[in-house]
Amino acid sequence: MHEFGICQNIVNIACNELKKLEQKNVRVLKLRVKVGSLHAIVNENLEMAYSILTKDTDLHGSRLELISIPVEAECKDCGYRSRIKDNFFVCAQCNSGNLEIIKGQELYIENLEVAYEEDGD
Amino acid sequence: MKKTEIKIYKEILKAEGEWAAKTRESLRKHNILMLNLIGSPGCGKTALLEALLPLLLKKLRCAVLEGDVETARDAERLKDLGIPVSQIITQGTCHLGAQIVNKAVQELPLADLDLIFVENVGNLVCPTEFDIGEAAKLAVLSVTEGEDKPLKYPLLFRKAGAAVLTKIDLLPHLPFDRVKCLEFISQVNGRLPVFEISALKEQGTLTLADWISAFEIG
Ligand SMILES: Nc1nc2c(ncn2[C@@H]2O[C@H](COP(=O)(O)OP(=O)(O)OP(=O)(O)O)[C@@H](O)[C@H]2O)c(=O)[nH]1
Ligand SMILES: [Mg+2]
Ligand SMILES: [Zn+2]
Repeated sequence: MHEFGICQNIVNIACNELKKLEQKNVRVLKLRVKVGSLHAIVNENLEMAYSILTKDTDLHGSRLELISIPVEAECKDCGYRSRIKDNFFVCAQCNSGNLEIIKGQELYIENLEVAYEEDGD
Repeated sequence: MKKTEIKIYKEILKAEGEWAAKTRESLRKHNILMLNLIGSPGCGKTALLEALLPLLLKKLRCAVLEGDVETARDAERLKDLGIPVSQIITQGTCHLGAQIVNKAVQELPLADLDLIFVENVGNLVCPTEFDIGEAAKLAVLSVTEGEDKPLKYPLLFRKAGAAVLTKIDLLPHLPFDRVKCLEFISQVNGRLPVFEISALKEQGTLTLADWISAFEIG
């Protein structure tokens, strides 16, 4: 359940960003996280951690949106780029196993969707 | 009420990464190689260290950081070797974090060391996600776990600097398909060196000790 550790980082970063906002009475609706598929992250575990860890924070009541990024690799022998399927890290063109991962290792917060009060509301 | 989207683009494990970088920096300063052993509970990580250390100690000054969820049993087992062994009890956490490892590393006599082994918490998945400042991860897999594990847990085998297949003395008694396992490993990571070892029968330990001695810190 390393998802809890990862989620604590998400909550810390997002709460920090919220403090910087100029808008008043901000309510967070959604937080979007991009997850490279190479990570061994179980979405349900991360969502559960999120609902627990946000309870007493400014993120309370918001939804965690997880967007996964497929794994892509480049062959170091022939230069061919391909999508990795079923954990088969072998070049589809020349059969080499000498691959460099170019996508799928990401793990970052992309954005927050918030509702807020306009001046004079 | 108005709605808006606020762009953030922040790495989630940035804080962890910064601690790992600090550790790496101290290790580089002292020219110390740190290896992070990752594998399931009972796959033979401590036994591997017990078999390897006497060989390595002929040439290198070693220390061990033992990550354990609850007890200090593994650290006790290694104390007889007369080397610094520190216990890091994670109190239920499934992996060693970069900050706690940094603290443990700083407490070691760094000027008198060449090699630090970290035995991570027994778990094939979680510790893989966390960089602790090591030069390389060693993926430890025992033949009792089944040959399909590299396919089921590819991340560890992608990130590792070497794989260690342990308890090979048990092969005659198991349905384990060794050739398939090696095939799966190379399918996940064609560049990964694999060491086949029995800590019990001291098979393959010299080859691995030589590989470790010759390891160039990147
Ligand atoms: N037959 C055989 N048994 C082994 C070998 N290496 C370890 N074992 C046995 O496997 C069991 C677990 O070994 P450990 O070294 O404690 O495994 P570990 O990975 O350190 O376990 P945790 O730290 O609890 O995750 C013990 O009963 C060992 O005796 C081996 O090479 N051959
Ligand atoms: Mg152990
Ligand atoms: Zn190729």
